[in-house]
Amino acid sequence: MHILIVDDLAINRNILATMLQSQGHTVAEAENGLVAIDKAQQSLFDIVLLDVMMPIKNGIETAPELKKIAGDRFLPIIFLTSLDDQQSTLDCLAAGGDDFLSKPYDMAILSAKIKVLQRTIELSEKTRSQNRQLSQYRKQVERDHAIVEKVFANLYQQNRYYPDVVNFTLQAASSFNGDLILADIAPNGHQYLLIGDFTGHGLAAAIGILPVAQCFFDATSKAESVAKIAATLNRRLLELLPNDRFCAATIIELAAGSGNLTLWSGGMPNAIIYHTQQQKTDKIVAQHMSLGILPEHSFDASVQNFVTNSDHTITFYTDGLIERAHSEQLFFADEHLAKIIVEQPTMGPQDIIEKMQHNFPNQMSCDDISVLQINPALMSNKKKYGDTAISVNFTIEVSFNEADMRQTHPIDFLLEQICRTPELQNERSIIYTILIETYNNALEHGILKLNSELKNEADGLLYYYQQREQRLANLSSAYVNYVIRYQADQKQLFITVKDSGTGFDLPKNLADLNNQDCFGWGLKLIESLCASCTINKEDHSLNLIYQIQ
Amino acid sequence: MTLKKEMSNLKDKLDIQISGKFDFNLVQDFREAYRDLPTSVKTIEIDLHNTDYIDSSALGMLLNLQKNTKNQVDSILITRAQPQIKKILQIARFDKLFDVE
Repeated sequence: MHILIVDDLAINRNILATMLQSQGHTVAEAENGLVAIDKAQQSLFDIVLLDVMMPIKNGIETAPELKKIAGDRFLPIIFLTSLDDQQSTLDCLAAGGDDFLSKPYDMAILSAKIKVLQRTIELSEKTRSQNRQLSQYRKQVERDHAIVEKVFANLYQQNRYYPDVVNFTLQAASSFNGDLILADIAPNGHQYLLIGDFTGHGLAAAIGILPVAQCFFDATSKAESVAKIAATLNRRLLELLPNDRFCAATIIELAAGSGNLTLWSGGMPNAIIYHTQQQKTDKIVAQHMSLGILPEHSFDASVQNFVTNSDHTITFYTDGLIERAHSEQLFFADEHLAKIIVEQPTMGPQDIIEKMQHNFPNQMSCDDISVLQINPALMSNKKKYGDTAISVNFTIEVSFNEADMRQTHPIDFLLEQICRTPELQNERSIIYTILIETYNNALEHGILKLNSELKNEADGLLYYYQQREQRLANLSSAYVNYVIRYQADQKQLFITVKDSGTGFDLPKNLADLNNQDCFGWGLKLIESLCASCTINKEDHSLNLIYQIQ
Repeated sequence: MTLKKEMSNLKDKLDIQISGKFDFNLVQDFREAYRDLPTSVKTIEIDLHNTDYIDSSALGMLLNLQKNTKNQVDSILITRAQPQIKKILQIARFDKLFDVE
C-alpha cells in the first residue's frame, strides 16, 4: 500500500517510514498539513497517518480537505496522537478520522490497524465498482425504455377517431401500460375501437400491444368485420404469447350514418350504457373468453349488435377501475360505477377514474386503468363512404413478348392490375372480353396471320387453334403492347393496343358481318361494348374507350 | 376452366356445364362433347352458371354447335348466364339463334 505520513518531527516520520517499509508498503512524507494536501493532490494514497499538532496547518484542519480530495474513494485517516482526553478524540472523529495510533508507536498495533483498514478499503472498492455497474445498467435501461416508449407513442399516434363520439383516458401503473385503446376510422367512415387489458402490467404486458395494434390497423384499413378482427387477434396472440398470458378485450365498430354498434367482448368487465332520457343504465356483458386462450377451432367470434337510436353514452373500462371497489364490495363494483354515472352523467373518463379513486381510497392502485366513453348517436351525422376503397386515375403500360404469349393467358395479369379499382372490378367480365378480343386479334391476325375462314368448317375451329399453337411456338421477336389509362372522374377506360405485326384492320362495314359466320365476332364485340373504337391509320394500333356504367 | 356433360335418362337431352373461362382452350372438349350425338337427342342445354369469362371463340364454338346439330336438334338452350355474360350474348344477337334464358 501507498501510505502518506504527515508529522512535523522528522524523527517520528522516520520511525513510521521504517516500520511501514519493512512491511512492504511504500511511503511519502509531509511535514505539515499544507504539504500533505499538496501531495495528496498529486498521487493517490491508500492510507494517511496524520499528526494532530503541527505548525502551519494542523491535522484537524487537514483531515476534511484530504477526504474531499479522495472524493467517493475511501481514504482512511489514522490520527497520530499523544492526546487522550475525550474532547480531542471527538474532534479527530468529527474531522473525519477513522482510527488513532498513540505514541510510542507499536509495530504490531500499526500493522493490525492497517490490515483492518485494508479490508474496509477492499469492501469500499467493491461497493464502488458495483455502484458504477448499477448506474451504467440503469442508464442503459433508461435509454432502452425511452426507445420503447417512443415506439408506443408512435403507435398511439396512429389512433384516429371522431373526437365528439369517442373520449378516453389511459392511466398506467408503471412506465409501460398493459392496457390499450386503439381507434381508427375505416375507409367506409366507420369508427373502430379496441379497449384491451393484457395480463400483468409493465413492459412484459405492454409488449403484446404491438402485434395487436398491427393486426387492428391492418384490419380497419380494409374495414374488416368485428368477428374477423377478433378471430385474427386471437390466432395471432395464441401464436405469440406464453400460455399464461392473454388479453381481455372489447372490439367495437360504430357504423357511420347510424351509430349502430357491433361488438365482440371477451374477459372484460360489464360496460355501462347510460340512457340520457330515462336516466337509467343497462349493461353490456362480455360473452367470451379473453383473446389468446382458445384454439382456433373452439374460438367463438360471434358478435353483439345494438341499435343506438336515442341519446346513449356507453362507458367501457378495464378491470383496474373497479379493482379497489371489488376488494371492498366484492361483486357489486360495476353497480356502484353505474350509480356514479347516473348521479353525474356528464363525467368524462378522467372524472370517472378520479371519482372511483375518491370513493375507494384505501388501497394503492397497482393495475393500469383505462376508460373509454362513446356517444354512438353522434355517428349519425358522419359521412358514409362506399364499402370499397377509393378509385384513382392510373395508367398501365405492358408489353407482352413471344415468351409471355406462349403462356396461356397473359391477359389475366393485365386484368388483375386493372380490376384493383372497385368500379372496374364490378365489370371485370366485360373488361376481360374486350381485352381478350384485342389480344387474340393482335396475335392471331396481326402477328400470326391465321385465316379466320377456317373456323367455318366443323373441325376447322380445332385446326385453327392447332395452327395458332404451332405458329406461336416458332414465333420470335414479337410483341403486343398495351397502354391502359383510367380516368376516374369520367369513369372511362382508354385502351390502346399495338402489335409487332400488321396491326388492326376493321372490315369495311361491321354491320354487314354475316351472323352465320363463325368468325369476325371479336371486333364486332369490341365495337359494341366500347363507346369508341378507332384504328390509327399510321401504326394500325387500336384505340378504345370503355365507359363504366 | 372445365367442361362437364351429362345425358338425360331418356337420352333426349344433353347438358353441358362450363365453369371458369369459356375460351379456345375448350375447343377440343367442346367439339368432343357433341361428337357422335345419339339421334334421340332433341335438346342441348349449355349451362353458363359458373362461367366467369367468355370470348369470341366461345361464340364461334356455339355457332359451330348450332350448325352441326341443326338437322337433328330442336333447340339449344343457353341457361343461367351471369348478367355480364348475358350482355355479350345479346350484343352478338345470340338470342335470335339460341334460346337464351
